[in-house]
Amino acid sequence: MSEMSVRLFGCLCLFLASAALGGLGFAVASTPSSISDAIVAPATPELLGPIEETGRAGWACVPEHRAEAKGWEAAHLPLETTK
Amino acid sequence: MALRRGRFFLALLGLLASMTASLFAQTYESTPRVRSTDPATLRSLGIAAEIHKRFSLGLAALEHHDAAHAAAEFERILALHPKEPQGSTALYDLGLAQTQLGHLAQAQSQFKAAIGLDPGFLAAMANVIVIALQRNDLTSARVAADQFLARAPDSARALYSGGLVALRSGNLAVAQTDFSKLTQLNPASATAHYTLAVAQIQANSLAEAERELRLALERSPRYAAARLALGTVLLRMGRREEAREAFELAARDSNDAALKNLAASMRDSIPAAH
Repeated sequence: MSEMSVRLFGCLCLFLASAALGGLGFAVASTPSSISDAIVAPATPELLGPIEETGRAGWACVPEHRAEAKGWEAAHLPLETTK
Repeated sequence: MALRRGRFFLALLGLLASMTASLFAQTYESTPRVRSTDPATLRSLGIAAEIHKRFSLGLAALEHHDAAHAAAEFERILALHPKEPQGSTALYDLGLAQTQLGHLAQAQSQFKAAIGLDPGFLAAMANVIVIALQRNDLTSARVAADQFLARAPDSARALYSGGLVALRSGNLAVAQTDFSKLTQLNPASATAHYTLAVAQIQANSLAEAERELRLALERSPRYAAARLALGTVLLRMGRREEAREAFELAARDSNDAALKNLAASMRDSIPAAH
C-alpha cells in the first residue's frame, strides 16, 4: 500500500470517527429524555384591557379588579389544562 | 246655565294646564348648567368636552383594532394636559394601542408613565410585566413585579407574574415562594399546582414536584402538560415504567399536536417492560 493510500485511509477513518461522534452528540442533544424539553413553560398572562375616562377607581373598572383579584379565574390568568 | 258651566270647566282645565306646564318648566330650568362668558372657563369647558369625545373615539377604535386611530386620539388627549385620573388613563390606553401596533418599547414606557402619575395603578403594573416579558426585559419586569407585589401582596396576578419573572431569571427560590403562595390562595386550580411544579422541577425538588403534579392531575385528569411533566419527573427518579405510562396518557389526552408528538416520542424512548 502506497503512502498516499495510507494517508487517504487515515483521513477516511478520522472523518468517519468524527461523523460518528457528531451523530452521537446530536442524538444525545435531541433525545426526548432531556427534562427541559418535556416541560411546557407557564404562559405569560394576557394584557389587561382598556379603561374608560373615569379611571381605574370604582366598581366598574374590570382591568383593575382583575389586577387585584386573589382568585385564578377572577384574575384572568392562563388556563392551560386543555393542552 | 249648562253653557256657563261648560265655559267654567274649560277655563279650569286651561288654568290647570298652564300651572302644570310652568311646573315642568321650572323643573327643567332647575337642571344645573354652567353659564359663563369668562373666556378661561369657556376654554376649559371646551377642552373637557374634547377630552370626553376623544376618549369615546379612542376606546371605540381600540375595540375595533384600529390601533393607529386609537393612538392618535389618546395622544391628542395627552397634549391637552388632562387632570387625574384622565392623564394616567389616557397613558394606559395609549400603551394598549401601541401594543396593538407592535410598538412594545413605547407601550412599556406609556404604562410606566401611567404609574408615575398614579403610583397605585395595578393594571398598569400588570401590563408593564407582560410587555417586559415579551421583550425579554427581565430587569424592568422584576422592578414592576416587586412594585406590584408591594401594593397587592395577595393579588393572584402579582404572584403569578412575580413567579414567572423569577423563573425566567433563574431565581428559583423566589419563583417557588410566589407560586407556593398562589397555590395556597387557589388550592382548586390545577394550573396553579402545575406552575409551582415547574419551578420545583427546575430546582431539582423532584418529590415536591411529583406531589404538585399529582394534585394538578387530581383536579384536571386530562391535563396533558402536567402528565408529561410528571413523566419526566418519574423518569429522572428512575421510575421508568411509571414514566412510560404517564407519557402514554399525555400522548392520548393532549389536544396540542407538538405536545402529543413529544409525549409519544418520550414514551417510545423507554422500552416497555416484559
